[in-house]
Order: sequence, then structure tokens, then C-alpha cells
Amino acid sequence: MRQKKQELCAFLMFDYKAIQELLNRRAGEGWAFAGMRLGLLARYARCEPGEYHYFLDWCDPIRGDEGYLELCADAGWELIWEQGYLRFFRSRPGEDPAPIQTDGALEYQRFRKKALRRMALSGVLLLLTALFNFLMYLPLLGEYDVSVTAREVLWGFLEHGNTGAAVVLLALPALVGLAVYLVLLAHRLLQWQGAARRGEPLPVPSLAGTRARGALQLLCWLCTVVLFFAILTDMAARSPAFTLPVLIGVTIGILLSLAMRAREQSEFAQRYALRVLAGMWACFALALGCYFLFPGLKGVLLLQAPQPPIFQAQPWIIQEQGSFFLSHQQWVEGLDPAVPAIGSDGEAQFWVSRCAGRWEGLGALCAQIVWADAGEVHQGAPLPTGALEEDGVWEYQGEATTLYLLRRGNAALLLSLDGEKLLPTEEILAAAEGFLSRSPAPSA
Amino acid sequence: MGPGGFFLTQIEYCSTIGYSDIRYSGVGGEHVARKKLDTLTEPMYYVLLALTRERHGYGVMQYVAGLTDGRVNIGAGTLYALLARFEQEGLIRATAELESRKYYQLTDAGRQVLEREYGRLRRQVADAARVLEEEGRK
Repeated sequence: MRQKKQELCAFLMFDYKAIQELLNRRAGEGWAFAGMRLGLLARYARCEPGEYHYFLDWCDPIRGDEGYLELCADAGWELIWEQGYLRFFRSRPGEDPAPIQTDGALEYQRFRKKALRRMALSGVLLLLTALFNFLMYLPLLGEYDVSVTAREVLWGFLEHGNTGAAVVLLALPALVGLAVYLVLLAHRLLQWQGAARRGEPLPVPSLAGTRARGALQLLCWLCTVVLFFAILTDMAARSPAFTLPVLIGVTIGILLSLAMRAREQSEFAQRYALRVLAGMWACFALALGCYFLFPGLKGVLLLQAPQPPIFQAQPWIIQEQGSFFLSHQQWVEGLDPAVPAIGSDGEAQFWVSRCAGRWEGLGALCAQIVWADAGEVHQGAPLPTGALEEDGVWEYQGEATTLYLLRRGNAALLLSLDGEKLLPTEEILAAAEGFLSRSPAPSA
Repeated sequence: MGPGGFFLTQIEYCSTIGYSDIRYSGVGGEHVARKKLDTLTEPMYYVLLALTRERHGYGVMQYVAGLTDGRVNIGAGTLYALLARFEQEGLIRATAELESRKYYQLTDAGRQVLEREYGRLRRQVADAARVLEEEGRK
């Protein structure tokens, strides 16, 4: 006979009475609640039917209550799990103590004091953070001349700030979810206020309704995973000088909070805080160990030709950025040391755009990105046929400029030659092929 | 008619903080402002009764359950909130702390509230006894 099992248990916090009833029902069937996994799965272990009783109570995970857990333990309730603003208490084997809360109005007051205020504060901080990230990302979208499309947002996600782009992608589902949540919460609060006024216990919602509303928690979980992945990939692309001070500040804040409130907080809250800290540092270490696709351009020349004095043997870097998924650079090189690399009309002697993806599957996207960089030259002409599917070299003749698009594996390179060609085309293309061959090899 | 020429017109009990919104209408229709904690809920009454002697939280729960033969069972969370409220209102004071358990006892103000409530309940019982006796004779 199975001794352990798990079942999906996604629920909104204000449906806790239904979950309490579920746990007591499971205990009556011989399954004792043992904890949650990822906040979504309830774990059970075999027990004697009716051996345990459960009670869910509100708590403030940060400030805690001095002496509260000791009083509950004296009364026969031991804390076995803590999740968010809820504590899961279990009676001692074979005992059936009085419920922890025997007054509905006081229970509602406890929710308002312990959970509602902090939830509201957290919600406001989350919204401000999302808005800040969105506003930080907004100017980057202006780099594209076309109106923001799903394609541009995706490019932004891959090329610029992943966290900001993830916020943009998640903004609509998050806002819809938040609006639905607030309506449901308001409805529940009205029910509790009514029960408190009448001196009745807080109502128990139906399990079916609780499970349906739990879909919102699943949505929240999914958004969190996407956002976390975006933050991790940004950490992999950014310099540690950017991430490390933030990490150190957060670590100090959490450790100080733990030290100052040690008497009030439960062992679960302290362990959870330490796990979050450990997770953050582990992600940072992982990010540092990741292979960067961001080769610096200092001293790198495609043609290895002598440069005009203004360059001093280095390219004029127009753009240099990268993320975990892509690196993208644009620069200008000179072909004649006696001629300014950039003419008075702004046209470059030799302009290069390069894009490389972490995986070979991103090669087609890289070709699109470099082709878009030369929009002023080809005036929105479609990408040459075949560039999306295979390696090769394509030529595009503009009015006064010739474009060469090279695609090789996970990288694409676009050359723009203006005016007279001072070097044979074959030599230029050979240099470009050689440059591409030095690009990072695709991952296995 | 109650004492002082007033009669009771409306009583609302709020179990949350245990006050009664008693509005007295005088002969000329005057209203007297209500006071907090004029009447107590049953759990509040028994908690104050238990704290006529120094006790810790669980001791209060055990005493009340024993005194009422299990009729009144106060939950640990409910008791925690009541003790915090009474301490804030000055009805009880913390006297000691041993092994993470706080001990409390009534203050003079708390004793006055308890005795006033006891007197009110006695009057209620006396009124009911009189009425029921008269009904019984009929």
C-alpha cells in the first residue's frame, strides 16, 4: 500500500478554510498532511484515520508573534508548515483540541492585522517594480523605427534587457489576473465582515470553487518562473559589478531582519529566508559560470586593414550588447588610412553588423536582426530567400551601397560597402568568413 | 424604566471587542454616549474571571474549560488576541515570564469591569427569575 502521495493543491489564500476542511477530510481518510512542494503540491503520509486534526491560521512571516506558537503548542497544536501568510497547525496524535480561533470576528481581525496590510504593501511594491522595469525598457523599444510588434518585443527579450522584456510580455496577463484577484478578495472580505458582525464563524467556501480560483495561483506561479528565468539570464549577461552590490545589500537586509526578529519568527520563516538567500547566491554563481556570447570588440578588426588615425587601429563601435541568448554588435572600419572612415554625409567606409546566437537554431533570427540594421540601405526589402534556412552569402545592390549578408551556423554578418571598393570583393568576403569562423561555436 | 429615569431602547452586541452599543433615551429624548467594555462577551468574562489569580495563557484556557465543564472553550489564538487587548486597555498586566510563558493578573481597573459585569448579570438573572415566577403563578 502506498505510504506517501501528492496532490495538486493550488489555492488562493483567502480560500484557506476550504483547504483546512480538505486536510481534515484527508486525515479522516488516513492521509496526514506533511507539507507543500513548490507551493502547489500537497504532500501526504499514511496515518490512522482521524488521528490528526488541522487548523490554518494567519501570520505575519516577517514580524511574527512573540509567545503565540508556545501558547498554541500548550493548547495541543503544533506548527508543521508555513506558507506565505498561512500557518498549518496539526493536533497531537489522537487529540482533538479546541480550534485555535473560536471567534470569527477576532479571526477576521487577525487576518487584517497580519496579512492584509502586508499583502497590500507587497502588491504596491510589486506594481511599482514592474512599472519601473517597464519604463526602463521603454526607451529601448524606440530603437526600432517600426511600431512595437510582438517580433520587436521578442527581439528585445533576446537582445536587450530580459527582465524588462519579460515584464512587458507578462504585463497583460498579470494585470488581468490581478484585477480578478482583487474582485474575488473584495467579495471574500465582505463575507467575512458580515460573519464578524453577526458573531458567526467565518464561512467555508466550496472545494470546487477553491480549485477553480486556484488557477490564478498557477498563473502567478508561471509568471514567476518566466520572470525568474529572465532575471537569471540578465545576470549571466551583465557584469558582476552590476549584480553583486544588489545581492550584498539584499543579503545584509535579510540577515539583519532574521537577527532582530529571531524570537518572533517561526523556524519555517527563518529556513525559508535562508533558502531564498542561498538560491540567489547559487544563481549568481551559475550566472558567472555561464559562457558569455559577448566578445569584446576592442582591437578586433574584420579586415585587418590599416585604420585612419582617428581609429588608432580599433573599430568605431556603434553598438555592442548581448544577453544570455544573443550578442549583437555594429561597428565601422576604415579601408583607406587617408580617408575619414565616416564621410561628411554620415556614410561609413565599411560598416559591419554581426549577431551570434547561443544555439544554431537562432541563426535565422540573427540574419533577420542584422538585415534590419541595414534598413536605411535596402529600404525595407525582404530578407534574401534562403538566408533563413541555410548557410551562404547573399549580395544586395543598393543605389550607392552594396550589402553582403553572410550566414554561418549560429551567426550572421552584414557588410555595407559604400563608394569605391578599395579591396577586391573576394578578399572582403574571405575576411568575413574568417571572422565568422572565429565566432563562438554553437552549443551541442 | 431603568435607574436614573432612562429606559433601554436598543442594544447591539459586538462580539469583536465586546462592547454594547446601549442607547438610553431620556424623558426628553436625550442620548447618552456609550462606553467601551460596558458589557463583555462570555469568553471575555471568563478570561477576566480566571485572571483574578495570576495565571499564564494556557492556565487560563484550562481554568475556564474546567470551571464551565467544557461549555466554554477559548481557542489559543482567540485568547492571545483577548490578552493583548486587555493588556492594551489596562485591565490586566503581565506579572512574570517563565520559559516563554507570560503570566497575567487583573489590575484594579480590570477588577472594576469584572465586578460591574457580575452585577449586571445578577440583575439580569433576578429580573428573569421575577418574570418567570409571575408567569408560573398564572
